Amino acid sequence: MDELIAKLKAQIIEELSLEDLSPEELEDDEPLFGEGLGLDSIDALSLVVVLDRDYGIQIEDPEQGKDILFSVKTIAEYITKNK
Amino acid sequence: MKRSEQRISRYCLIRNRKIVLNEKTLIEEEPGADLSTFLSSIYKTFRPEYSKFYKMDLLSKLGFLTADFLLDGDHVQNTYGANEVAILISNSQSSLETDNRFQQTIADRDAYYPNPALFVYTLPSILIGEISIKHQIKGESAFFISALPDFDFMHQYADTLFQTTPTKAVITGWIDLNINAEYEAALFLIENRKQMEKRKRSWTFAAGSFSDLFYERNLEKDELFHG
Repeated sequence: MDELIAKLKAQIIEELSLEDLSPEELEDDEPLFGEGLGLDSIDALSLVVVLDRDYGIQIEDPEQGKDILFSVKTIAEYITKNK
Repeated sequence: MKRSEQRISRYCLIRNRKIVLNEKTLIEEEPGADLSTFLSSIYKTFRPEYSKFYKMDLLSKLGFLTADFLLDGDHVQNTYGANEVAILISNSQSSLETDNRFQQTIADRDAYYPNPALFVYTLPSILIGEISIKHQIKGESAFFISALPDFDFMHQYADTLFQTTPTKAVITGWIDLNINAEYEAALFLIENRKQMEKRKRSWTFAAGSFSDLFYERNLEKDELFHG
């Protein structure tokens, strides 16, 4: 899980162009949207693309997406359960 | 001939790794770093934190930084209402550099992953939106495509806005970037002479002034104006 979380952090920074952040600054449990990292709906779409392209996982239910994309840890847990 | 009420009060040029603000060269770097690295380094060195900067495409970063130098300080925000400032920008390449990168994400039918973050920048007018958000501008706006900077058109369009809309200040210019990341940016601020900051040099609101400033030609002494 730790390895997956580290990989996800690097991917999130790369895909979302968060050049001013280092992986160490991104907390496992920190909310990615809203008051946390401040990502927006376009970023959510980009994360959905990463899950599909790099892990072969599709989020079928948009309502579920909010919980899955809540933090790096929740994304990693969803990947682990569904791969 | 009637004296125009408007003057070009500020201008900013970015090209060849050089930034000029009101005739003063702020930065001149040796050739080497690519445009992306150059713009990021300028942003880190000079501009206040703006979390969305890194998410922008290169055209928007170029326009955003040019506008940020042009509008440095709070004069425009303090002097004009949000709907009294207009933005008119043109270029020759539209958003081609980003269009090309986006096309690469959909070129392979077996790896068809349209990149949403790139897609939102496949319109050049997005850069007007980025400038507007940062500087709280809600006035008239338009983006035009022409092979070369058309200074007559720039002047006429801005003049029409002053005469027919609530517009009291216009940001206009040329923000161009081609597929090889060759770039050229020039923005001008046009204001009523009475509302300009005091003791600032300004230039005649005319197509010839845009052209002279853009091509960095020496300006005549009678262009000196002290508010």
